[in-house]
Amino acid sequence: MHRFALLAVASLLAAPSALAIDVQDGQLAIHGDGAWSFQKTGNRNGYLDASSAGNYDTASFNLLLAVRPTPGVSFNVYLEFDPDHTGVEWMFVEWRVSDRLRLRAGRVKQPIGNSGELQYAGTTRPFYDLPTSIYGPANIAATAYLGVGATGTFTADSGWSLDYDLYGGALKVPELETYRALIVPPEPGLDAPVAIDRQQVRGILGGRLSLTSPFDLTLRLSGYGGKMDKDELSQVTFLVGGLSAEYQVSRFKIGAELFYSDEVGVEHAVGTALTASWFFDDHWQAAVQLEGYQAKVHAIAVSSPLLRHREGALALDYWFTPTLVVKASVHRIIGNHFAFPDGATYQDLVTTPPQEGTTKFLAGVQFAF
Amino acid sequence: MLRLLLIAALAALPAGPAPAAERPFLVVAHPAVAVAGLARTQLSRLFLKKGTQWPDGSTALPVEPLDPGLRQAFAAQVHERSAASVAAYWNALIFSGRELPPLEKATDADVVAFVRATPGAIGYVSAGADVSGVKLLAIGWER
Repeated sequence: MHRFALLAVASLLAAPSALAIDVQDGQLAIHGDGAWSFQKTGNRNGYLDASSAGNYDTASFNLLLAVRPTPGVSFNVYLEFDPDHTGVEWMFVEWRVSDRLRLRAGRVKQPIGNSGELQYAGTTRPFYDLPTSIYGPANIAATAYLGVGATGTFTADSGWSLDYDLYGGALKVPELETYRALIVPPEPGLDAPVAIDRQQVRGILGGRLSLTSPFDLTLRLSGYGGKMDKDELSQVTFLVGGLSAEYQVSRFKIGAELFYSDEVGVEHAVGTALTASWFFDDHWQAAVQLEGYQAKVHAIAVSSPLLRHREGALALDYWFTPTLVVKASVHRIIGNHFAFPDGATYQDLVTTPPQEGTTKFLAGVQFAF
Repeated sequence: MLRLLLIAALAALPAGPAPAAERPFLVVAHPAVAVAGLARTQLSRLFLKKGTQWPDGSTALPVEPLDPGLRQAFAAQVHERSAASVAAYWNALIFSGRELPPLEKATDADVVAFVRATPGAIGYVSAGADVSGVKLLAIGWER
């Protein structure tokens, strides 16, 4: 834990500016991003990285290597280092046929919504984390797909542009089945601590269309579908679709998203988020975020806080540069789909219902180079 | 009173783009690049890598000087954004694995040397820089 914290702090102090390391006129470029935060909740509930006792162990550091042996070909690797995981987050080869067609293969960031490809770099957003209801363990967005894809952009002289992504292969979508002990008939394993499942979806086909206007309004339509493994013998059809919008004018930025996911015949869910931010000057930024999530499980007849999440949050950021920011935020959460006592088992959440309201406090730093 | 109002209204009008003589930078390209000039929006697209090809289909390779004042002026006049906004734009593209920013060179002379030696290259340098051996591109500033 201390090693990661020291690594993050050392990298932060060493990061002089936005400059990356560039070798041989762009044939090798090295970028990186890192983050550390203290996160605490105001009651017995934990909420992802926030714990009731206070969590200091959140340091993470990621390294991006891009190798371009020729102008049309690139190899891209993104390495992730954090206290729980060290590994390759994405790694793909890209062949740029033209601006309108770029072919990709490997483990590729999933193009979904406004921010699916930006789940790690905190200097790209006003809040420390992206909205949980869409980009968290919500059974909606994955971090990467394994397979092949195509992407490209069509630009008109008027300033309008249309970007597309198409991809196929497999991915793992994260989900918290906090409600598991409510399922009738009861499933085995209810005495295990609640943990994030990463469910395998195979044979996926997905895509995203992004239309950007000359006045910085972007509308996005994204979705994918495939077969989700439920156990060794059975699969269900899994579908996700959503609409997203982003608008930026001068110092103001607003984004909104609405997503629907469906494990056909098993459960479906709706996730939504609205984020607005305002720069008072070149350094100070304030932001507000509202989000909601509702799951409907066919084998659960009752209404329960374990099936829903509502969250309102305020943030105040100080940007030293566009690549170094200190953030503080307070979050009010209603519902227990993502917020529940640390270490609780699935059965505990039903036999001893947790407090439905949770307050989370966060202070942290994020940087990139 | 009417005259005062008229003067106030004229004073409130936006100043408009700076005339060519006031531009603090020159845009240069490799001598073999088959264009004589670019519209401001085309130039912006090349440096934001929203388009990476010249009209003949060859790859455009943008390069920028490190001089923060020059970059600020280029961002304001060509991209019509602040330098911080351009940095945030690149931040998002880099970490989504989509694109890397233009190459950076320490001095005007380094930019000119790179552009002279690299087919498809385009760069900008201070207005007073020595641009021998590269093609000076005319920029259309009108909207």
